[in-house]
Amino acid sequence: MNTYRKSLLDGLTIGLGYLPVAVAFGITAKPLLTAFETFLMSFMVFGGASQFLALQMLSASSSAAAIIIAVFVLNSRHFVMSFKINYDLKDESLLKKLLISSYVTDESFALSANVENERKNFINYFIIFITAYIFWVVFSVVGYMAGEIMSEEWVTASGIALYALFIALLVPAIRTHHKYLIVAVLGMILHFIFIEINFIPSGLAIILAMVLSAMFGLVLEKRSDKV
Amino acid sequence: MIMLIFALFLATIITRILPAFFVGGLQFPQWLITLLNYIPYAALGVLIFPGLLTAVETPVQGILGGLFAMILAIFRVPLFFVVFGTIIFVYFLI
Repeated sequence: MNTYRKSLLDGLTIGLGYLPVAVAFGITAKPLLTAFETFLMSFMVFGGASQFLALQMLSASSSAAAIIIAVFVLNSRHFVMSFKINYDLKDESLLKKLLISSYVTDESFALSANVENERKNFINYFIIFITAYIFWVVFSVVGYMAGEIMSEEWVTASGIALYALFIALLVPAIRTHHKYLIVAVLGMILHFIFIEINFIPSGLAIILAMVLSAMFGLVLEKRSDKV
Repeated sequence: MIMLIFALFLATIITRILPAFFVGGLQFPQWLITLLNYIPYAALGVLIFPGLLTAVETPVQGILGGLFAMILAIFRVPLFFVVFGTIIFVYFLI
């Protein structure tokens, strides 16, 4: 029972972190989508970065095909994340693995790094992920409705929400070991360079920067083993 | 629009569920597990920057907002208050 409660708290932690981001999404969606479409997008896509990207491209009147490809490439990082989650759940049935995999996000994945071994099973992951999911869907709609009464400045300021969430997730990890900081900063630099050289499509730049900097972490690990 | 959302659903769900079919009893080498452990931190870094520069109106506002969020997080402020506090901070910047 105690472990379930811990998982529920983890879910609430992500959910509360999502709350302002979801509200920001709802506000941003207001001029582009109907209330139902906003709900449906959060309900079916369930990805902060992807949904903001889709809105950005919709307002730039990109083609549907371009939006789908961009979101697909941006989301392919979840392939790597889902791999790790599925590894945690390797003893569960395929159906349970599929269910949990559908709810993998950057945030729930980042949190899974701190989940103890005895909680690495279907029921605990389900509690964490579904709690966060409910927050995301509900507060997207709340944000949509709140958008009507909010000023332009608040709408602009809420653009920082997603980044504040990412930073807040990264800081505790850095506290545990500085090697995570090195990997994260390397990821930032690589991503910046890949975007600046304007040669690689932006979605692919994300994946490349992510995998290369994680590989550098592997090098760090190998070196500390030898000492 | 509904069709587009449904296509986006497929575009996001495929990459998420695909690994579930691979993982079944097969054993991973240690280096791959270590690599997978580093992915979240690499991902967070990549997602934060340079996107932060275009999050608000000017790059400076984005960076100040990011620094503010970092300070709150360093002082162990709960996630919700970090995000909410940073929005309020940025509101007063612009």
